[in-house]
Amino acid sequence: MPGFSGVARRPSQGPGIWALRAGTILALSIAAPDPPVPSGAKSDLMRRGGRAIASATCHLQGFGIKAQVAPVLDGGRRRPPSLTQSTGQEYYRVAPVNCSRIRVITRLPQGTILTSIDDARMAVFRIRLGDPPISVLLATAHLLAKGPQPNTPDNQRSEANDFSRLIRKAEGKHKHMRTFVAADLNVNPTDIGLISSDGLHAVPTRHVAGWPSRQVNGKPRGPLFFNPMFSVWGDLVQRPPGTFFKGLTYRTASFGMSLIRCYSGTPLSTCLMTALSGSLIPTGQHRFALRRANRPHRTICRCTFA
Amino acid sequence: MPRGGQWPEDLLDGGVQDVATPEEILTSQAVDLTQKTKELLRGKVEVGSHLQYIVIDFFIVAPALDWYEYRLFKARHKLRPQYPVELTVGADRKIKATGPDELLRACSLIFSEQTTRHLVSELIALVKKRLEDDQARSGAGAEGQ
Repeated sequence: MPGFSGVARRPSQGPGIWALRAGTILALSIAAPDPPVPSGAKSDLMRRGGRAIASATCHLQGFGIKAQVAPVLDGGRRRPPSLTQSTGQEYYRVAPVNCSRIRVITRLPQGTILTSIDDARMAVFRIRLGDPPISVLLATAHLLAKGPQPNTPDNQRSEANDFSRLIRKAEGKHKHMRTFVAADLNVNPTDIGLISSDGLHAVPTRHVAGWPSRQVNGKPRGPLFFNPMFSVWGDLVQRPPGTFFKGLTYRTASFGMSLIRCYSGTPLSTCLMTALSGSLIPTGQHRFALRRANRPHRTICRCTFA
Repeated sequence: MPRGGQWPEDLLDGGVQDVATPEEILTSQAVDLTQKTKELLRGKVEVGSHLQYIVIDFFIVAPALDWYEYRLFKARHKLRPQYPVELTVGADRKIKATGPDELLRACSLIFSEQTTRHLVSELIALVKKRLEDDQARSGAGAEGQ
């Protein structure tokens, strides 16, 4: 059923491991099997030995949960990436029934997280936490990458609009806007699909994001997301850079996107305001290697967290 | 100075061919799904807009599974003319329908695909299981009283 599809418990098999902290929801965005993965690329998370980067992290301080997104190469085999043999922990794979580009795994207690709405590229989950239980929504997606036709900016914008509509629909369905996004959107914070009011409407200012709506051409458009990824561009500060060099766009690319609704109409919004680390996995032990020019390469970034 | 109305008298009588709109066609398909699954699953169509397009989402809803919804495909077309309609199925497959007949054919193609059939039968099985579980639970509750 939508929700937990199974439980796996396997023995630990040494270092280089991904182990999920309790309270972590890991969304894996599955690379398209077509075009084929370059030869030599590892085919799934297990074979990569944990060498993947979390592209964005969203941490709900009030609940002690966080959602992370990690890109995974599927190797064209269309099967869920395997964490099993490495973790030695119980985890659950949440089953978005037919969402082929996302896998979500977690150690949250069974029954806590349910798939609300999904399609082939995006999904919205309802998470119920606390006592008495409070519902929050996690939206995740793996949208079109930048590239030649059909991956044009127009189509990316259209997909962002689709994602936005799905989120609004889920918010209407569950009658609240306690929503956060951790997704592989394949866009930069300034891209039109992310910033425009008919897209995800994600702004860099918490104050503005807290407004219920914003006037666009004389009409109220809302609600807005806060996009903290603006603050993690570049590598001036002593932390992993939130962007890396990529020739396709204007020489930067973000590792993914975390967005938060700051206006929820309830006091819970203060809980939802979180520390966003932006780029790499921020907690636990993490190591990462950067190539020259501070360009992290996906296959050499190494993250271990326990 | 105002003069008599210049609009033609027969505006309500047409002059425009009565062509089924994409929304009507997709809504009828949603109703069909609801009927053929005896309401275990429901079809739902939602209409919105984006830029110059009308966008239509086709959902499969499973009321018994906490109202789980799956967006099977998206369609978009201009306000005028309403055809062609561009359907996006799955992650990025596009189908273009230039008229109502082609749209129906495209629907038939999508609904009879292996992935769709598999999805629908899986959902039906889950719904049945959930209903049985609920029934067993309520039966046990009644015995307990």
